[in-house]
Amino acid sequence: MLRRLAATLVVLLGVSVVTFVITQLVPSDTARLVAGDLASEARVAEIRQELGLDRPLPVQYATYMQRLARGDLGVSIRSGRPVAEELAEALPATVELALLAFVIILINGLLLGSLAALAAGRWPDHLIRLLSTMMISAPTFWIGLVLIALCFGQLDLLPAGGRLSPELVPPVAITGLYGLDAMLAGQWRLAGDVVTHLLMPALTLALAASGSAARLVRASLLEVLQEDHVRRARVAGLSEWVVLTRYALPNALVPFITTAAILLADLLGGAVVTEAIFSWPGLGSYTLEAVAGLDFPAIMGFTLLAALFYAAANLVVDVLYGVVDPRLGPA
Amino acid sequence: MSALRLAMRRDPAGSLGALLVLLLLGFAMLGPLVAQHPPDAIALARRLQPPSALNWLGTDELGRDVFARLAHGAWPSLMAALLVVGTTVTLGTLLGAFSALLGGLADAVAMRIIDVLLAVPALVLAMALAAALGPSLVNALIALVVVRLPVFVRLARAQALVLRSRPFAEFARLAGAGRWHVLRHHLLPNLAGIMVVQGLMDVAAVILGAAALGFIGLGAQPPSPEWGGLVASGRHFMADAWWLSLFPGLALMLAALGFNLLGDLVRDVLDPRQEPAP
Amino acid sequence: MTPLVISNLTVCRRADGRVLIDGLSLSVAAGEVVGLVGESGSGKSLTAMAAIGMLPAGLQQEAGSIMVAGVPLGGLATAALRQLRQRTVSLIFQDPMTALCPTRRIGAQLADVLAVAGCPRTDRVARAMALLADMHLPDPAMLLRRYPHQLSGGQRQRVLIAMAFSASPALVLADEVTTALDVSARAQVLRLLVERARQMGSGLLFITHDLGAARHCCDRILVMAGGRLVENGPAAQVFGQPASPEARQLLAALPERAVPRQPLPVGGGLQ
Ligand SMILES: Nc1ncnc2c1ncn2[C@@H]1O[C@H](COP(=O)(O)OP(=O)(O)OP(=O)(O)O)[C@@H](O)[C@H]1O
Ligand SMILES: [Mg+2]
Repeated sequence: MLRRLAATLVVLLGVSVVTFVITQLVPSDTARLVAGDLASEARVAEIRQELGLDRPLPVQYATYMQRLARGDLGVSIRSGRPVAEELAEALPATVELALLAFVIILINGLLLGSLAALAAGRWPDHLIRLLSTMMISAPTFWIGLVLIALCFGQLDLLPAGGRLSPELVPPVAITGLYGLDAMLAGQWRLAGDVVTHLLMPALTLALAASGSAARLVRASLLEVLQEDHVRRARVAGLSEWVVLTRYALPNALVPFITTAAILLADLLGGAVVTEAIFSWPGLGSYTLEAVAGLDFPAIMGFTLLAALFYAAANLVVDVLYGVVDPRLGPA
Repeated sequence: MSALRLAMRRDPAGSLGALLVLLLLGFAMLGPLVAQHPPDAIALARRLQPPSALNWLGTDELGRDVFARLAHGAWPSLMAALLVVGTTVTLGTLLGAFSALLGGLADAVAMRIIDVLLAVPALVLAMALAAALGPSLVNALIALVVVRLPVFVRLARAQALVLRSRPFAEFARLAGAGRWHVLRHHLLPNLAGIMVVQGLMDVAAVILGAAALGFIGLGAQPPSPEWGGLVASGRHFMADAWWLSLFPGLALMLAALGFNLLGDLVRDVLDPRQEPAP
Repeated sequence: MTPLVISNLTVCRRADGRVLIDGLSLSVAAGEVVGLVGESGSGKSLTAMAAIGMLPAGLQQEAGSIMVAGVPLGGLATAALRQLRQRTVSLIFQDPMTALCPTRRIGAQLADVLAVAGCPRTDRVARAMALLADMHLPDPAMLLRRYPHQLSGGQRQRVLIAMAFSASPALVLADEVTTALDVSARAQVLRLLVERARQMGSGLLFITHDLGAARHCCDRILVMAGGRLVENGPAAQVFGQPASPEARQLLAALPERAVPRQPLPVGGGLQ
């Protein structure tokens, strides 16, 4: 475990180097960006010195790391506010969206994957395979637009974007997740409004991964269904339902744990396109705006955060394996 | 060849994939020829017209023919993806094989670098890179290569390690063959097959990744009819001119679907594990 | 009701039409231990699978009938077949390492089997413990909470035998159940298996390559060759005077009947 932690730290350190190098690729002049177009050359030079941009690269990296160790991700070029603060503000919206999408993906993957495996080689299997491959093949941004045009434009069923209808006030922050907070406060109407706002972005975000999840579950389940212990359970006259849920699926899902944890990390860090389309005020939208404004402290901050999610996911996987697979856990 | 035909009969989805890819290639080559208008002919009088006999897939906000733009965008969109995949497969195979052959410190460092690259969500890394390099198609493609490369290096390295321990390579080494000889005559030829298949499976993902970058505005720049960009520029007219975004997106999806299904098919043909009956 | 009566069974492979079991007739009486031996590929496992209604996909029963405790398997509905497997016939697999679900506790897996055999929920733990105690497994209460990987091969096979007998079935099919075990565990598992079958009055079809074991504990021996039954008789008779050339050849492998070896020349034959 300690070795894993050390390896994780090395990876995070590597990511910090990568993000630092990327900022050095930028042809634009950060000091000029901060100062604005109208500032004099002298003022730009002054800012350059203030930000330490005139010092050699290794020194710049060292200062960067020093501040990083204190949790200081620097200051956004666009707003002048600390990046860490802005990321913290955007985080709950992304978490809420990612969690719902994650649940949708798990349900879809399990249902479609099991169905396909049980009907292997017959028409439901072929149909589900085509369907799940279509899910993987659909461009996320396009599906989002089509959903908006359909559910908002044509049918007027769901709102086109945002977390909440403009006339409503967000619930008192407990977790920061609007839906959960509203329910905790007993504000059911508010919770309903939150859910209608969540539905389309979560579906969009979940679509592609649902397809891969279904394919993974199918392949894994097919393998397990051939194993001796499943055949033994069948030959002992256990019902198909018991065989599937207590014997086949638990074993088929073991290799799925890694995928699921990484998936969650990806959802937290990769919802850029979906958030942009649905004006979802989370990390993805924040990053996209940062990219558009060449706000590199913000981009670096987010990249580091995403890598942190990923590292955390990997550590969680290790723990989970011990819980799910008794062969790996403490005896 | 007969193995292929058998797989087609057994695997209707795979055949659909092959058909889609053929249609895509046909569209990319013949589409521009049959289009009634040039892709960049502005006709403000006929802006935002719905599909009709005159403009098969309608017109955009500048009165340009959507079908013509789609047809002229097919080749760049497809070529971009194939270029990226070709580069990642070649570079990935070479780097992976080198890393496996050299071993030791170089190998360890290479693997850590790959861990780092894989620790950042692919699209985010591509975005950051493309933004840093400046928005253009070439930079977007470079970013995609960087993002997809680690997977290929890892696969090639793992395969090379397996191959290296096989008797023939072992034998060649014992017989005094140098590293380069083993690499050129034993590793690379045997790696090629599996890497190309893996590359084929990756084409769809790259098509979608390039389109996503285009959509964000980091890929091919506006007058270019790249498909992701087409969806993006039609975005603001979605309510009353749905055809602008619908058709390029549909084209993207069918292209990705075709390559995904074809990838499955090829993998099944080369690795025909008997699909067990339930 | 005779536990197992197979008459004139013929099984073919669909792909090439090869006959894998050829006009096989046999029976197992209640309380009888019947050894089924024969060289590899002679169709022993297929016979057992046919008897439990589980011929692998791609194989087809061409002719003949199988009666398990008076019930003909042919044309049995899925539900009826499942019920038959729950109460009347069970199969013990060769490899105890893979025949138990790795992520489920022994107690839960035993309870699943007891449940379908009609044991009420409240009695299951007690029944499961009694079954394990009958198999001379130490500390049954502890064992119920164990996962398969925490047991030795011999212990696992004894758990599986306990499961197989949990519903007092009329017929038990045991396909090479000692092959995967350590030599030291074999004798004990074998003794427990036969003892259990005799106690319960179940018919036991005992498939094995261990001719010594077959001779030692079977009432009757069947010899298969190329999908056909070539020998059927009391153990003493089959081992004493085998009638068919196939049986004679097979039994020649038994140590006491083997051709005496030439003594090694002095010096290890180095010259
Ligand atoms: N699923 C199957 N599909 C096709 N042929 C099979 C299948 N299972 C068995 N066979 C064939 O049937 C014949 C008999 O197989 P079986 O498993 O009954 O032999 P066995 O007597 O149990 O051999 P062993 O002592 O090695 O276990 C073999 O020739 C085998 O190739
Ligand atoms: Mg056998």
